[in-house]
Amino acid sequence: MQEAALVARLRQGDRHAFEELVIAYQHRVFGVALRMLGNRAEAEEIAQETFLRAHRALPQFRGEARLHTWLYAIASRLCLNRLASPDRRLVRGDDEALTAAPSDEPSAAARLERSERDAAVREAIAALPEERRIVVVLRDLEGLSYEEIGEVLGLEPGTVRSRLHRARLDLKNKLERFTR
Amino acid sequence: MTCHDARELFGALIDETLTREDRADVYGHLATCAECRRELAGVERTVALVRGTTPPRAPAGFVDRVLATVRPTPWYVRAGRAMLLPWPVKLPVAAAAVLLIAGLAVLMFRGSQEQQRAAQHETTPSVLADRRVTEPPAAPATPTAPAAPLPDAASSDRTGSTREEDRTAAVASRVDQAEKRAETEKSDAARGETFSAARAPAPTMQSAPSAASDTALAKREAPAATSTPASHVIARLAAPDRDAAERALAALAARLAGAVTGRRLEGDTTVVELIIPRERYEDFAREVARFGVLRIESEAPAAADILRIAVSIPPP
Repeated sequence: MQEAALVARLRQGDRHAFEELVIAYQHRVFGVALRMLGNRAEAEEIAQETFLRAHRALPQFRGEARLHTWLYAIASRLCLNRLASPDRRLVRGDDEALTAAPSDEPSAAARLERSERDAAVREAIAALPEERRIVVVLRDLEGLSYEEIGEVLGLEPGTVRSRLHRARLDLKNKLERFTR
Repeated sequence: MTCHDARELFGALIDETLTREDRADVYGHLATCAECRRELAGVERTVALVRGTTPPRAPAGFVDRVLATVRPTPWYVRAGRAMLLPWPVKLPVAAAAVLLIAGLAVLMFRGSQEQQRAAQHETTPSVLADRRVTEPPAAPATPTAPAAPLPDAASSDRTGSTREEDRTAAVASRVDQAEKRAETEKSDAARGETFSAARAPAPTMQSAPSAASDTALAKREAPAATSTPASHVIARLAAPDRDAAERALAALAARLAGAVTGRRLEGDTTVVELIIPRERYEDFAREVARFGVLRIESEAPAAADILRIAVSIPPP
């Protein structure tokens, strides 16, 4: 209901509504970009571009898709296009841990362990083929349903399930030392 | 269900998207296969590990930066950016602009050439232009051979019907051929001879199209006889205001479905040449009397439907 009201205000060109949209979805859109690209500067660029394109396309947004799946679709497409760009091979990942959110872990040892685990997961995800990576990011990090992922990526639910299955097997093999 | 089939469904089992039937089949297999139970436990832990990672957060100031990109850009910033376009964009744009300007310049140059030619055409023979310098600037220059009534004539006679204008155009086109021939000869004469004020118009007279004109012209005396060859009527108009008389003549010709076809200077006398339908000649003679005293110097026997009239207007 809230999303419908926000969409209505967005389509009327309400500037505050757009600001609310960016505030609400900034971390999710940035998160997808960062998990897919592994580089914060590049992720911010793609996230900004996502909102810019959304802003341009808002007058045509009819509301058939949910607002968040629409944004994920724009962001995913931009990320996959960027990864397919031949110029991108030179871009290297950076250390995300430096800017990660403060951890809730009580002790320094636990924080270190968690940080190490997060880094291993990031590396394992980054090593996945792109078409599997995006499915894992959308399902296990962003919490989208199979149907929503199919909508975002333009895939059949069966294809989503099979890619997700393979991605998880890859991750299981890479992260075995943390899952025993 | 084989191990392979069961493991294919582990992801959907964890995500709780399996049908009741598939779920029952998978659980049935797991109950009999320790290896698959271990495998499922590994996948579950992996998914939990991934889902348990700290979610990344957008950098500080991200919202402001996004909002800045969608804010309408002031015109001066856009203009500045336009000047900083990358060369691959700027070069084709600049090339297109240069081509456009060059094309326009060529068009304008051609246009001016045509205008120059038209101006030369108006003042042929050139010696007349030399003389015109001494004329008062208010004297209107009249094209030698307009195909339609003069603009000032038309404007001073707005009441003339469309039908009359059509007839005027038709009349003008019927005499067009003779006009051109006469002009050519005039130009040749101007080029090939040394002009003197008293020069007799013998060459142009010889080009008269009909025997009737020859007869009429033969009777003429200088200076009135220096009008174009085919004038059927030669007249002298004494008017208090020569410019006004000229304009009135043009208006009258247009009103009578005719047109002024030429204007030139003979010493200090202005000669206006006009054409009117023969049946309107009486009207012409009557109307002219309103703005001056018209004296007919010669009248050719009327053999043509279109009368060519040369009216000399001496200074008052």
